[in-house]
Amino acid sequence: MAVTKALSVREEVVKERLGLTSNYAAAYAVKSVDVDVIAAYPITPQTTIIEKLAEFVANGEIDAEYIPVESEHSALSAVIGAAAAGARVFTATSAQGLEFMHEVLYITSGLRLPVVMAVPGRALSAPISIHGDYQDIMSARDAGWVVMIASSAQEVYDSIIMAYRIAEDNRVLLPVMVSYDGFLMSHTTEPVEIYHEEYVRKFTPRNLNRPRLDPRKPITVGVIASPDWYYEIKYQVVNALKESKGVIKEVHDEFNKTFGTNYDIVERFMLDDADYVLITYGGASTGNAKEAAIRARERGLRAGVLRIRLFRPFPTDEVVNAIKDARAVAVIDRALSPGNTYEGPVFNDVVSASIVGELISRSFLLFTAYPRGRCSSTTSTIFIKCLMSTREPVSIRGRRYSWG
Amino acid sequence: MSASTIEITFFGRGGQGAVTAAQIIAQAAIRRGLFASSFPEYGAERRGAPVRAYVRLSREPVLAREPIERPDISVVFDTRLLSVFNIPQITKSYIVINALSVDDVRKSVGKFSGRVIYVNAYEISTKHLGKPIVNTTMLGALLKVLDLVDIETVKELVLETFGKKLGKSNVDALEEAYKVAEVVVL
Repeated sequence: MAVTKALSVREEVVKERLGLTSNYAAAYAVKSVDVDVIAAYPITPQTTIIEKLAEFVANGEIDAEYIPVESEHSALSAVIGAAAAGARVFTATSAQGLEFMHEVLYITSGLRLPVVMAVPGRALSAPISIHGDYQDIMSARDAGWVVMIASSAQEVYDSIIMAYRIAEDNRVLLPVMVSYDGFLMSHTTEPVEIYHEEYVRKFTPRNLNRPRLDPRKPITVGVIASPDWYYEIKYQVVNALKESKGVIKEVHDEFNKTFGTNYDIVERFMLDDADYVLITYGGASTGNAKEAAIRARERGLRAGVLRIRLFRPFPTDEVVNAIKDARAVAVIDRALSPGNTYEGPVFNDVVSASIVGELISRSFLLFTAYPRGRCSSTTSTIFIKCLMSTREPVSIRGRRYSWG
Repeated sequence: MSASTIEITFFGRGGQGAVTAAQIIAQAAIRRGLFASSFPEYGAERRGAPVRAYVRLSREPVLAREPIERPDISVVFDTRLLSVFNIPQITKSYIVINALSVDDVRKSVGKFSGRVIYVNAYEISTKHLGKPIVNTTMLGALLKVLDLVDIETVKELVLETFGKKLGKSNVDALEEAYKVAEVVVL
């Protein structure tokens, strides 16, 4: 029944099925939510998002101010100003561009501005690489943004629509980053179902009932704060981000109802009876991990995949629930945290979750692996080996840690 | 990979339009209600450098997001790419190749366990476009062996991609290749 209902909802809301890259899907989402101000500076692999948006604006398909700024620092600064005045805004960047706007990331969350940004993840220099990984996104991890990581072009489109609802909710009022794999998603053409604009507009009503710059009711934005107030205000961001998880779940539920989808803050694939769990995020490593789980099951090995869709705030309870009966867990990280006890950033989050869930004390293996940015064609097979082997996986730069 | 997925790799050189050709096939499949994904191998965006572009076509959602190691069909824009990528060794079923003659095909392919479809795309594309940009011509030859996607939808997308005037001459090249492409017995 539920399936039939979802299908009939889909029939009603879907306007057309197009072949789009994740970057174009992002641009289509921005078009459908009716933004006021777009400011961006091009960088590979983000460029095609803002090219498409420039085209939409030039054609009159989006009624927005498009500001071609001279740097990423200015791009985020420009949308901050607009958002503070009550505008609905969008920007996008990647890699060095995200690093260049780094200080402004903290200003956005500290000012509690509902900025939405798309970030196809890319490796950081040096050496120079344009290929996809998540080092740039992980370096923005502590900036106080909600961070979603999509795994398909459809999900990029859907997540950006959800992002405006989440960011502008008065209980949240935080910036939202929607990230995904550079190149392996940003430049991959795949089917995307685009919705009738009226449904998207209805789902994302503007929230102007928030603190904003208005000459009729003057306020000051961006003041200096003495240490006691600084602490208070920053802690409000910490709390808001923590509390946002409930709102994010609400928005997911309502989105699923409105658009006939099935999103959650994590994705569970063949997990119900899984002895071996692969935890990962993004498009390439999740798609390949799913293939690996299917192959492992063909060999009689009960494998499953947990995909982290909401990265910040971290879905601790969902992770504990997914791995509590597992014999071994492998985390496929797409970024490194050099000098940390364990180098994988999400691996660290999973270890923390395991302590919260009191899983560490019993016999329980955790692997971490860092496949090279591009995900080689043998990655899936290596994932299986990584699951089955108690030895250190040789083909992946990674380590095995075990407790109990 | 599920058995119902067809994997195609386009082997070309920078500037020949391999990436665009792969996009067109994926777009055509999506327009016919199928699932498809297409992405190029990046890192060598220089005119003349070897380029690979991948397409997966399926009746189910495509999960894999990795380069194709063993394509069902290889579309080869230049015979000299055969040895660069070991194409006869890695290809499972069909090699669709641009060559100067049947002899040229035999000499350059050597041993291959599948079937070879030959077209002189340099000649056809030069005739219709005035220059040897072979991508749409090679699509015509590919359509001889690819039944998941129909020629009408591909023509539609070629017109949309290249615009009315340039699109028309590309469609002419595609149609001629579709007519004259032939199976070569090695």
